Amino acid sequence: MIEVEGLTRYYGDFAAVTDLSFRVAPGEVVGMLGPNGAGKTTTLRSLVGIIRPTRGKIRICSHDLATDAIAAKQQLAFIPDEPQLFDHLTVREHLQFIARIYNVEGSDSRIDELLGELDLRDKVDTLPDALSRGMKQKLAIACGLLHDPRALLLDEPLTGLDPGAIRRTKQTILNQAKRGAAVILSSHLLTLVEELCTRLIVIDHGKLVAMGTIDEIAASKPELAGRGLEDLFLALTGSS
Amino acid sequence: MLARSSLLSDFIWFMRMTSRNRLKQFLARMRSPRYAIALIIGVFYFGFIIFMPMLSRASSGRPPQGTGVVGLMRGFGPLVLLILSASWWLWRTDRDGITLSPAEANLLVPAPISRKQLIQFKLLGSQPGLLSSAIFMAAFTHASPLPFVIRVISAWGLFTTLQLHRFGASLVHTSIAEQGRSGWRRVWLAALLYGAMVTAILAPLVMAIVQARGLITMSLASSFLAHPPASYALAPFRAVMAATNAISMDSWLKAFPIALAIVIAHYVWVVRLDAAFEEGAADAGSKRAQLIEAIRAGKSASLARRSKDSKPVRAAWFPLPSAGEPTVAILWKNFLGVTRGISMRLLVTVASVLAFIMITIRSSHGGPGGGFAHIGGIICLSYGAMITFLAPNRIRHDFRSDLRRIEIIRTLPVGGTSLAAAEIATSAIVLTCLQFVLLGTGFGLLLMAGNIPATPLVYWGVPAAVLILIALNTTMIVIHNGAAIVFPAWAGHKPGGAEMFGLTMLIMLASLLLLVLSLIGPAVIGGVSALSVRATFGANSYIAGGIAAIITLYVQLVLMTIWLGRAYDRMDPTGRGGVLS
Repeated sequence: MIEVEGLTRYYGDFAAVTDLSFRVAPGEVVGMLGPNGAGKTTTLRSLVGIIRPTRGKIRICSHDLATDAIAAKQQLAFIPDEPQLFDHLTVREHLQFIARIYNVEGSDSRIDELLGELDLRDKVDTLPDALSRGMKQKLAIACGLLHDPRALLLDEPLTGLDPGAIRRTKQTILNQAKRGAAVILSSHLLTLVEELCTRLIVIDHGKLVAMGTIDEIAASKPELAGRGLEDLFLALTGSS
Repeated sequence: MLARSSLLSDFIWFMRMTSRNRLKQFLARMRSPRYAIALIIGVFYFGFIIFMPMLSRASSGRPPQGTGVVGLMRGFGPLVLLILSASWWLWRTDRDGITLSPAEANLLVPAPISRKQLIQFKLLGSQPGLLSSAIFMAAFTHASPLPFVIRVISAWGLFTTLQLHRFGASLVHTSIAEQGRSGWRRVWLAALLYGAMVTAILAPLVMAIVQARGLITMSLASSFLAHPPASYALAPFRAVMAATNAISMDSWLKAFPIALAIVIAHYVWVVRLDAAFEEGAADAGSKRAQLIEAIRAGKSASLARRSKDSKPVRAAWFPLPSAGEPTVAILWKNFLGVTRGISMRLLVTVASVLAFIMITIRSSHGGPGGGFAHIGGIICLSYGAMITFLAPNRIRHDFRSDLRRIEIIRTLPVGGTSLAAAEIATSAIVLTCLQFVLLGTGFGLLLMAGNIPATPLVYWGVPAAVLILIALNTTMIVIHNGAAIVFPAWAGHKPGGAEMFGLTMLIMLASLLLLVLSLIGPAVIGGVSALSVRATFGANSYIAGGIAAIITLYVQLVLMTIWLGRAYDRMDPTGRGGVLS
């Protein structure tokens, strides 16, 4: 469960996110949409503890991220748009490192399972700089999934992946939700959002402009009845 | 599109625009106080170290001595040129050839520009760099009797010749490779030629060293190079350096036309070589761009090269079980970074530099006082002491490297204080081990040489020094990490040139000042403790004072680490707010 209440983040005088509140229940996959600069990345980075909100409360599986950060972080995983990896750890060592940090029991079999699932078996002894962009992304996904997080946040997770990996990653995200994880997926790929997400959160200029299922949001715009998510998104955010 | 008839003017326009934009960026940076201050300090540093001796000599009216760098250049410069050219002809590397940046490879190679024009573009583009190197060399050779401008012109001629020769050698390599010849078949002629030259130099030198029972001095070696047969082998290289090494304006006026003719001959040779260098140049340029990006991002250069070359990775040298204290994983990760960042090339370079320094000192200070053990001991002790202040800026396997991956580190379920302790421990352990190896070696060598009396005081002093050094090293690492956490923008991207020197010096000065401040508390408590027990222990009260000071130092260190962890927890990694309150 991810709970957000009144999340506000200022950079100097600029309000990147203003008074954002929502909940993501276990098993839900919520799509976070918004044009460039809408505040999606700031929201995600606040939800995982990278940046501290100026105001507001964030709870991950009932643990307050501000006051009980370690317990909250034990339950979450964040897969950023640009894979962040350690230069001097090989693929397998990344997973060993994450296993120790999160105290993953029986990690060896889980690591082998993820390496196979993400087609990384041939690269286990390779350093990140020698991996392609897609391979790095797969490794970042493997690191995120290793400890079976209860809250999974993904920022453009399919960038750089080949079609096979895209299909497997989509399935992995759905499986994670079926196992009871609350998932937030931020992406500009509206077809992906439409395919995977049960609900949407649309942000523009740091403010929540719509929340609900596609049908619920569409009901608020009768003039767009029968049109797809793309038209809905453009109408909601005033983009042309 | 560039019109062929005005290609030269187009290239000049390109360089002018590039320089103008760089200047704009530079001026924009100067609006930030940290860069402005760094620049002032950097300029002061260069001025003081390089240009001041030149200006002071000019104002004192002292006649030029022709010693120091100038003397070394005259004595050994041609030999260095021989070694350089031999390396270019015998061992081909990506770095020696013409390199095209990714933008040049993508925009200029497909453009309707001939190979010759591409080479001319690269040569033209390298001129500002060569000219600035020439200015620095002219400043370094202030003991030369030639005027500054003449020294700049001579050095420019020398550097241009060297660059053209290197390009030429690389293009010949490429051309021969195109004909399907590789390995020995590609270099046999150069190998024979350079083999003969080296034999002509080394054979009499080795005989002289044997006759002198190893006690050869720099002046003796220099005079060997000035006489046949070594002088014959070095004659072409002496001609290249003749203008740079001229001892008067008359000799320069005779030497410079020859140097200029050599430059022109090299230019004609290089632009007439029709080798398909584009692919290799693009590849080398791409590798260089990636390497520069990696180094700017704070990665180890050797690691960046190794991963690009797909060389096997050294195995982790201690296993990491999945259960246990999470912070051990941080230590494990950082130590892997340390060991994988060390290359054999680095170790050999350091050992060679130390050996060269020892041999140089030994050669110039013969006699019993200049024994290898004594000199080696002094060098090791000096380096061992210096690295407490210098190395913390270089050993960065801590927050300073992990802040670049804040999106992983910040999401890990590890508390700030535990994380800070693990991060600090890595760099402190590495620094201390390095220091103890140097100090231990130095101490041992001086004991061997009989320069240190083997008294109980010396032996008791060693454990105390060990405890103090561990604390001092760790304090320095905490200070550097504290700076990175409190001022994340300072620890990030660094500009090049004088600003980088200035910024590095500024950080070192500030950290030194903070180290001194951090010693005040332990010193006061140690002093007060010694005074309070003086009546009981008499002259031995300083031991109690020392113990109190060391304990205070460690307590202070723990408090500093806790502060660092809390500062990390409150830190705003966007750099737009500093540490949040």
